[in-house]
Amino acid sequence: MDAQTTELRYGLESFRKDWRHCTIGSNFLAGTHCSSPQNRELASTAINEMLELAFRAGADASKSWVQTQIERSVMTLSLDLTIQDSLIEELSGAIASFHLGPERYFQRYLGAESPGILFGLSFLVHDLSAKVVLSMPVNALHVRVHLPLLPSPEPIWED
Amino acid sequence: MGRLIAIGNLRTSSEIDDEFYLGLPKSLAPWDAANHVAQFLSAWLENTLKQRNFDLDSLNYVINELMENAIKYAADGRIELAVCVANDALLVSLTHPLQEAHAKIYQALAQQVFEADPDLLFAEIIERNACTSTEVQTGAGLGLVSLRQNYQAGLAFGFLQQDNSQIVQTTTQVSLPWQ
Repeated sequence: MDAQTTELRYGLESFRKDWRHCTIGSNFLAGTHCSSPQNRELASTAINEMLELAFRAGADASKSWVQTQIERSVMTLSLDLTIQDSLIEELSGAIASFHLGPERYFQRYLGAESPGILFGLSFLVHDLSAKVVLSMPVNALHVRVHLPLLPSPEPIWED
Repeated sequence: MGRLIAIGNLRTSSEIDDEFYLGLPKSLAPWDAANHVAQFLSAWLENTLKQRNFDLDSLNYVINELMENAIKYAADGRIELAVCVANDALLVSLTHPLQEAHAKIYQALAQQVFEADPDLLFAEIIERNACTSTEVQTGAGLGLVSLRQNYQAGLAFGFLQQDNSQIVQTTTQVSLPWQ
């Protein structure tokens, strides 16, 4: 593995016992890689969405991986996850519909009947240009996001 | 091919199912990273440990101690921290590369810490440090002894060196019994 990669691997069963794991993990990983508040905020938001995806959709008794890597001025985030059987159909449908565009995904996926994973995944795809691959029949989900980092640590309000 | 020297009851990665693993490059671990990682891990495992009435401060201390050593002495490469929630104990494992010369010093120290009476060794190190200038006190082993003395921790060490390599992959394993 590339020496500049940070990897966090965790058992889903205990991870899903506490919702705060998503924030704790995203703050830690973003803080490890980013010194500027803007970059840290951006990275933390994306990692948090990934961890929430793992929290909601991960199959118990499996493990999940989150990797963060910085090369030049781009931060690459990866999530590997085994999805619960009951969510596969809905997830496949959502992934197939991503090419239709971002219009109204807020309305479409914020409803009470809609599983939260679809909203989070739509956010990652449409707003952060995430690449998503679902491999069957092993129910393996891979999500990858490339985040362009701001070059300067100067506060943006100084302009 | 490589050669593994083990001190104590070292459990290899194939023997344990780690609940949590963190791997990061040494270049991303400044001095304050030890505390940063310790707090992160304690927060992450808080629920699991509270269910067993486990003192979170103990875990915090252990991680801090192991990470500080890794940050001080590790050669360039990855620092890998794994935690396994076993039936009898919480097992914390830290692996990192060491230059061969540093690994030899650490191996001798590990052997001493593993074999000696922790109370006597603690007193001996304090006495020795009091008579020695601060410049040569590095690697005294006080942190490792304190893990045995204050936390009843079981220690094990592994030194894996590949043929023709100047780098030794060093593992320090701390087992904290459930209270």
